Amino acid sequence: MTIFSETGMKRRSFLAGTGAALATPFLTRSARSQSKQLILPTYGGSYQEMIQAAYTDPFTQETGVEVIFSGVPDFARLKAQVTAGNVEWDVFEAGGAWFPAGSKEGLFEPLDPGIITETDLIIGENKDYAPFYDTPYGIAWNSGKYDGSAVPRSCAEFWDVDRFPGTRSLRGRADFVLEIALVADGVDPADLYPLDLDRAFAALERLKPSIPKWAESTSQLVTLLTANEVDYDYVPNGRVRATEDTATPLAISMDQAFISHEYIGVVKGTPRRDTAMEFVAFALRPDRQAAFSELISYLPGNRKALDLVSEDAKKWLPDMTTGKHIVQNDDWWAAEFASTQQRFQEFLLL
Amino acid sequence: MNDISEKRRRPVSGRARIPLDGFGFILPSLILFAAVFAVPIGYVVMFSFQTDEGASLDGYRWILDSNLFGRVLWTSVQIALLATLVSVILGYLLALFLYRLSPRKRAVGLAFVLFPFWTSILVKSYSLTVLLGREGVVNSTLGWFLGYNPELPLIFNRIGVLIGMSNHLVPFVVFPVLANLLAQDRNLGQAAAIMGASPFTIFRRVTLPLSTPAILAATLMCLIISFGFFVTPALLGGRTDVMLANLIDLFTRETLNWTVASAIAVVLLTASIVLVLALSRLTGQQKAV
Repeated sequence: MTIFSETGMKRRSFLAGTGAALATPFLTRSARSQSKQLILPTYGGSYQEMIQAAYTDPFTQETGVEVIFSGVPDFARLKAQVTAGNVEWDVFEAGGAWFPAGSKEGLFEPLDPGIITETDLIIGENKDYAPFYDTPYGIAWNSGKYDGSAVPRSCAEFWDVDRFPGTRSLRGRADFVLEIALVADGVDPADLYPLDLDRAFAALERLKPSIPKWAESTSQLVTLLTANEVDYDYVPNGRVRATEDTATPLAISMDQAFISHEYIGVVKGTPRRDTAMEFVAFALRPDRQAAFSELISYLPGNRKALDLVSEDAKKWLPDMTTGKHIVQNDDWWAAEFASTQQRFQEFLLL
Repeated sequence: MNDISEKRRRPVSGRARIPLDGFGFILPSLILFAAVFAVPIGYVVMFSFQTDEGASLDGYRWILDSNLFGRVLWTSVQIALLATLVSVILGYLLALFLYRLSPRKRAVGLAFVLFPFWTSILVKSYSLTVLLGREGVVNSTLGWFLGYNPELPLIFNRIGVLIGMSNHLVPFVVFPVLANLLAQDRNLGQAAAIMGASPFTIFRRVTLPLSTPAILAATLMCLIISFGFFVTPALLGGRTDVMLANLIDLFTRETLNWTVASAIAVVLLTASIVLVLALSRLTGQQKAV
């Protein structure tokens, strides 16, 4: 997605989570595993540490399969691997419209309901991927600058520069921005799709003068706040939590979150198909999903895991019962991303 | 290309009579380049003329129809030319300064040039954010003198891009120019001085003309590098500072439209080649003078 690693989590919570992962009940060694290795891409950094703590290390413990990380999740590379018949990755994990688009292009193996026990999670036209986790973005600010008593807490307030003066930032990508613009303009989050593009761009045009920088990456969204380059932007809650014990802590409102999905699937043509299926099955298990949520404070793709998440971690998560949150529809984006992003790019240039 | 290498290549004695002259020496790198460069480029050219349905000119049709491409191309040309100009001037001055130092001090000075050269461009871009930001080092230092923070807009605009890019490009100017200056015959300057030339005249009529080949080589290098710049405009630029490489990235990695991505790449490559040819012609003429 970008040239930068995706997350920044503090070491303490990582260590705490490792402990939790080790404390989970030891399960029987799977007899099904056929190969001793599995290769997957990763965003690296502390994100990789958390993936290891919640998923790959316990998986190796249970099955004896060694998990090797190679490269960054990149749709172009995935497509190149599959079309060239030279598959390196066995399991693929990525966010946004890549999965529905890749599913249409036949880049994934249909998930085997014989191996994947959480069958109700299997989605896609070819039943070939599953939700891994959801990333909730909320309005964040620098707690050194604002005490949180008079900050925007909804999309409409984010747009209201008269009531909440100050600069803003958003990602320089249509699929991180248009839904927020529409809800700010008064569209009910439940009736967003198909997106009314003209209305969205008109709303963006109004906020444009208040956005000195359209962030290139998620990490830049954080940097812009910590360096006081902008006053408010939409940041994943985990990124804000990671600043808790730093010199420039940020704060976030989860009142009206923007929720994007991350999916997991098995790469078409992998020689280690069954092992890869087993890993996906393992990764969807509520206990693993909860362990990961505990570390990163994103919503588990398998919502059953929510019951296992501690209250301390839950306070970072958006309350999904309010109906105020924007839940992204990646099927719409898979069909419309190319043309919409081009239009967005033109909007930025003018 | 420039006269230093020319001088170095001249054999000192007659023992350099190896049968593998010229072509034989470059053969290994030629093979390597054919494998890792020419073949992939061939694929890119091929991709640019086909879609999933077969041969097609859709990629190039997109380029002609889209106002995105024209704008981005124009931005790229502007940024590349400006960044090159700034870098060549700064780099030349820096090389002149280093040239005048004693060899020992020069080594220290060169280390300072090399540090940014060795640093990842990503790291440099982030560091510049810290320096140039609204409350960055530059603005807060100025604020300390002025009594208020001037909040100079040094970042997230064209200025930020130029600062970031010249920071990266200056070493590419310093090295060839310094090598050229050091190779110049110091007697020429002394002769000019004896004839009554002022230091500025010596520079203008002796040093500068003699270093033109190095300047042209540096200009060429800067133009080629900056024309394909990617990270710096994305991190330090404003919303209008989008370059062709950013556009190629959009089509390659986000929309997976490799036909358009390849077509843009082919145009970028062709433009760069035309630039190289034009400039090496200039260099050639310079040598003939």
